[in-house]
Amino acid sequence: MIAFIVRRVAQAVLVMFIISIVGFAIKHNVGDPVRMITGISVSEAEREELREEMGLKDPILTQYWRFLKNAAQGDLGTSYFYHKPATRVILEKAPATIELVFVSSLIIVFLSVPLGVFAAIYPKNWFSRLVMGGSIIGVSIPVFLTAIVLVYIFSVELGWMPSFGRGETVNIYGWESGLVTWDGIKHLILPAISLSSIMLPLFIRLIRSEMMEVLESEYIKFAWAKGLKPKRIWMIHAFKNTLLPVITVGGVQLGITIAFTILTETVFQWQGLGFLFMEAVERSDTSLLVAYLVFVGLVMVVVNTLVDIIYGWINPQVRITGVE
Amino acid sequence: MKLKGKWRAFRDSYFLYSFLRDPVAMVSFAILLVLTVVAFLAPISAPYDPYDTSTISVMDAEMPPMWYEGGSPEFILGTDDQGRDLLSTMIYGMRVSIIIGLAAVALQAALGVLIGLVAGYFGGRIDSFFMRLADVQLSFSYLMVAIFVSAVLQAAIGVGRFEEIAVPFLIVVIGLAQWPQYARTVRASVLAEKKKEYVEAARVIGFRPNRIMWRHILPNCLSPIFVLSTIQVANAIMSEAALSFLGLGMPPHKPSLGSLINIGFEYMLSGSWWITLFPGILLVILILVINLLGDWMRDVLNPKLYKG
Amino acid sequence: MSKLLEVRDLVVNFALRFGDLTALNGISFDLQAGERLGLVGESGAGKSVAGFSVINLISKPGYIAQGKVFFEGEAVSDYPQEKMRHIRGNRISMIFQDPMMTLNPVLTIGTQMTETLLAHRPGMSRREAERIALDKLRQVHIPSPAERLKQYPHEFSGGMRQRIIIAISLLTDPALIVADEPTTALDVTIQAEIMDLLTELCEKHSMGLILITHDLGVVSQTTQRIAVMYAGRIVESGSTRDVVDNPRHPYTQGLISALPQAAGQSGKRLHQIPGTMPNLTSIPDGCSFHPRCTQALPVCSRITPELKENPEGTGLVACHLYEQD
Repeated sequence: MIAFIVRRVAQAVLVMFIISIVGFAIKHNVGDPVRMITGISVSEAEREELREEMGLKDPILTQYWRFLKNAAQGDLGTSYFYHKPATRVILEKAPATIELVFVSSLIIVFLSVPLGVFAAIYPKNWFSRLVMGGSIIGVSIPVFLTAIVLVYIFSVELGWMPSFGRGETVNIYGWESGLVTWDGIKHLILPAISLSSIMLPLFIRLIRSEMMEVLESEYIKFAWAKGLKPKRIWMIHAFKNTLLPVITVGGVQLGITIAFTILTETVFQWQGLGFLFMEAVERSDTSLLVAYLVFVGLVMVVVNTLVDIIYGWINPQVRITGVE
Repeated sequence: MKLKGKWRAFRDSYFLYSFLRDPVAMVSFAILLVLTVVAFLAPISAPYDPYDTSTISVMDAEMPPMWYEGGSPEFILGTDDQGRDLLSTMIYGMRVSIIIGLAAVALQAALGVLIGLVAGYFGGRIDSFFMRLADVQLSFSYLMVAIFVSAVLQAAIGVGRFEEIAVPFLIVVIGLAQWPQYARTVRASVLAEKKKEYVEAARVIGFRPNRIMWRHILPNCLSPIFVLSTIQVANAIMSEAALSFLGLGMPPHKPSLGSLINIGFEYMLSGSWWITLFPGILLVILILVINLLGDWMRDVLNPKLYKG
Repeated sequence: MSKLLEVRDLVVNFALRFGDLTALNGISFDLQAGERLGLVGESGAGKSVAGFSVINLISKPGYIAQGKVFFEGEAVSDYPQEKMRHIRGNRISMIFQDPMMTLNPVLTIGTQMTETLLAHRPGMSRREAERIALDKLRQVHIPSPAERLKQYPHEFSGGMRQRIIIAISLLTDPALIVADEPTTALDVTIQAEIMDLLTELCEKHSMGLILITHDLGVVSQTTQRIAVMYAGRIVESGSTRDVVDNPRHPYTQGLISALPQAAGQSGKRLHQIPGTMPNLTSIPDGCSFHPRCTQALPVCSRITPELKENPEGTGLVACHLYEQD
């Protein structure tokens, strides 16, 4: 198991390294930081001087090394638009996205498991068929479209929920939270539902199909032959085996969820990282784009590594032998 | 002679048999066929050419569908913010989406199948390398990568130039992002087939690896590839729509369905809901029928006959 | 001795999309308490289905269409699933074919053993269940049983796993064990050990055994009686000694002479029965074996022979050659 963890962490470090190279490459080649800072009326000579001062004339490796050192200390450059350190901007906006993803994940986990398991055990039941039918439609509707339709129905037509923004937030030790106030929660509902609109049916289908496959296996048949209670067979024998492949898929889906936050936050004007990203795109704020890349990359790598390690822990074959 | 034999085999096959007995599959296929034909016959099927600026007048902007007050039978589904006929723009947009979807999947499939075959057949270092690469690439969602690459590219070369290369760019970016799925699937098939006796026999006879891979192993891996491809086309179309919605895909003057939805979003609150809704419905129907067909194919090509 | 198990005219069908297929076409056999019966036949003959129908656990879409199964006098084939559950794993245990697939990879051996006891003996404590589990593990000659309980299936070899499965089948001191090809997935060297173990345990505890296999060699060592199956029917049955030494049905004769021992002694080529057993969709009219039978009579292609007493009265055979008109 230790060997397994070490390998995973090493892979994580390697990936972060690659991300840093990509980030640096972008920062170095795209956009001109001097132009962003100075404006048009500054002379060419002054610009060259500025470049020298900022270290832009140094050899590439030196610049890269500087980039790495700074990044390790949390300094990812300055956002041209916000005139603040990029890291600070990101950390300010992160809570919004994190809360959104958190609530959305809750929805997904607490709905997909019971529905998926039920549909696997009773596939011909009318409710199962309804759920599966709904799922395939749900998987076919792009996230942004769901968001738009929800906004139209519940905000514009019915006026039940607000259509944009986070509403009232409370600052808890620097974390701007929208979960503590009712207004904040109201603002969270539609975006969270939109964000889960593809993942939820996806997981329902996944859990159902994995569980159905597990239910066909020899060891389940043997469990029936032993005369065990059906509940035990489903929940203890079948479910744990279903979880393993689902966890694997779950880790990958996080990356897609991050992409979905960009789409959802754009529709709801949700002041989170996704919205920040789109702003940075519009303003060609390279510094911020790179900071976003590094931050999101870090989050994904960490989460993926954790998920892999958790999987290795739960799966006895990996835990004991150290290999998959 | 050979073709006739294959046709007969297909006609008598279980594949066709189940198809003809599954109403969902038949309806989905019919709808998909109609949509594809209409899309590719765009110059004929669409009432107007939305790219021809001489036929567009801003005076016609934001007209509602013809069954509403203010609408006109000239523009069946209404017009968009620039006065283009919505129906025509939707048809042209659908064409772009389908082309990008198919081309991107062709690219992913070609790349992924090649890598999967090589990795699975030769094993060892080559296998480890590609699989590690695939693992890493899979952990970064393709959508995220596509969005980011588009964003950076746009920042680098400017919006104008980006629009010029939008179509091939989208094909490449979506294509490159998803080859790992194919590689993994094909590799798994290859590993399973490798153990079978006919491979051993071919090797003993002295066939070269190339021949064994392409002529013998590949045909047996085809069904998972088919199933995967349908899902991937749906995904590709969705990705392109997402990118266009964010403004990182097809430009507003040559919009795909995603771009139209983006344009319409701003006007939705002021009442012109049709600019978003109709392209949205069309997009969903397109993706849905592909998904339904994919599901059906997976059930049919699955050796376990008694599922569910 | 009262009959432990009676199977009467059992018909099992599979409901497929294009119609029902008959897997078991009216089979009947008995088993006395403590008796060991072999169900022999090729793959597809229906012997596994017969085994599963004893505990009414036929895989969907299979179902019992006609006939009955009586266990200890009760018509268990009519029992609802919940009632049958109390018999499965309790009074009748089953051993499956592939020990690699039969044990759940994510649960410890201990859990998979104690749960059987805890399910059928309400009120039994976990410790008591573990004690019994350890005892059974010792009976199947597994070393250091206490440590084994905490281990996972993948940590054992195939032979060990099968022993564990046999131990599981013994936990509730059942009256009958149904063993479906218990040694087919194991190395030849281990096969004999496992079969000897099984025989020894059955004798010691006076348990009935239904041994389902295609391996005549294994059957002749272990069982007291044999029933030979072909295409969903029993074509011959009797004491093992008698059927092996004196096969009457041409199929049984073919099986016996196909044994390497038979050819080896006279230096002749291995005998082969020409053709293959028909699959369920295309069973021939009359006697299902007649297309492959070298001794077929004209009547064989028209009328299906019934299972009747053979001329010597030592067993049953379903063949027109032995009909006394």
